[in-house]
Amino acid sequence: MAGRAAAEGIRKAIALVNSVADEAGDEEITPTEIAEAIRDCLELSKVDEVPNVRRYLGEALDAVSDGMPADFVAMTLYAALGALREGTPH
Amino acid sequence: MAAPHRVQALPGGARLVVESMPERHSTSVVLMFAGGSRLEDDRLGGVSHFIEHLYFKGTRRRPSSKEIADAIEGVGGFINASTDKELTAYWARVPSEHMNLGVDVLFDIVANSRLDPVDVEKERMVILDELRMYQDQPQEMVQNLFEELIWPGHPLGRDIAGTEESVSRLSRDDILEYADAHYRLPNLVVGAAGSLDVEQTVEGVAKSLSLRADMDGAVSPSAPAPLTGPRVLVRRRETEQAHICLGARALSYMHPDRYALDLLNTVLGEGMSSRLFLNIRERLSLAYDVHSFTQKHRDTGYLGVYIGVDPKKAVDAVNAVLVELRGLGETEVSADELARAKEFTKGRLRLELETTNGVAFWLTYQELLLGEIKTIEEELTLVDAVTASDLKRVADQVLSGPLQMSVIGPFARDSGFRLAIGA
Repeated sequence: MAGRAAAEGIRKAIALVNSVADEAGDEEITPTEIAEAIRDCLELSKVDEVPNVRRYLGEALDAVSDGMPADFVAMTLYAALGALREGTPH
Repeated sequence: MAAPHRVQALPGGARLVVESMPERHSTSVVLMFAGGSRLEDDRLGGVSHFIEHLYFKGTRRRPSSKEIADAIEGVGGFINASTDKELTAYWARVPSEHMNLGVDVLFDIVANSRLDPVDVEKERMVILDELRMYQDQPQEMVQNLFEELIWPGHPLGRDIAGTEESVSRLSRDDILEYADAHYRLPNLVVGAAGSLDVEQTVEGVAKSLSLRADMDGAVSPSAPAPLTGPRVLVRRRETEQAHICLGARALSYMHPDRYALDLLNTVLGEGMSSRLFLNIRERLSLAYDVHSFTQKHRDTGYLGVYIGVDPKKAVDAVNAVLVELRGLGETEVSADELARAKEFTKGRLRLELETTNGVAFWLTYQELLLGEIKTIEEELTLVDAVTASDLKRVADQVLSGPLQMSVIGPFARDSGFRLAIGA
């Protein structure tokens, strides 16, 4: 269950980033909102149970803080999601 | 059973490998010279490839490229050449009754080329365009970058065609000197396969040997230094797709485990039933193009994986590939998977040897680089002898080395990629 919550949290952050990348949202998404979504994920215990998930999320958070392009942030979040997928029993 | 080929020592130290394939209508002739781009230092980078181009520009008897092409195409044949890292090959495939013409034209271009200064300058422009063209082909370029990482600071890590700097600087004297040092009989293996008479072929080739017999001035290849750790090289380009190569140093073509490595590569990423295709593309939908490949040289080699992927999924795809790589060293492949890989490998080898050109190249390559020729039956027996435990052992050995990764795509940072391989 913890794994599912973490995955949903990361997907939510990816959706926010993608809407910035695609300029598709009706409302403007701010970097603060994206950072908040990533911090929510970092608070979940599952991110420490699977190797590298916390590190990718940390990279993504740094990328948001540094104003990196949305696609780059998305890539790092997808990496976190992938690490979670590989580290969670099917 | 007697081997279907014959190896004949020729005057001056050259060798001839010949195989009669009486049911064919064509004969292929290959002149293969040891050397290639790994013998070039930085200053001469690309000189072997430059010479190969220039040799088609004209000879004293056939003063233009058109006359060279006409001689072979006039009888419906094909003529071409290629430069590799350890050899340069010139070949012709002609209707069998014109084999002597093929031999004559090939020896004419390697022994009597005009190397006209005007042609040198024209060809320099062509090669510089070729090098710039690669910059627009990220799928090619990412493999060149990968080889730079696998063999850093070594000629094997440099593009066969050289660099814009080296090609711009090469003088006609450099080219003449290099050609004179390397295009000599002890460096040459001639291969011929097709509908031919073996004795007449030996006689015809022996009469055509007009290169120098002694060796002086040619350098021996140096071995690449060991890798110090994992490295990532990201080249930022605003491409729609990310292009990634990752892998590790592997085995040479002299290594007894080379057959196991080939089967490992097949299981991993050759074809649409490979693990990479089924898992990365079909199951995870992470990449459109994902496959693996090997490269082998006299004392080194590598196992690599190419991924063409949406940039957003690039690191995720890399991680998924790493899972597949690790799996090969952790668990033995199943009997079914191994059997499929063997049939794939044996089938591909048989298909390669259907043409006279395929046989001529196969024989010549073995004689030049391996120093001995295995028949297809011997080769198939060695493939059949590989076990699942061999694959696991080789995977473990290869993948315990430092991983290297080259990336081309719209990436402002390399941190995600470095994290993936611990660089």
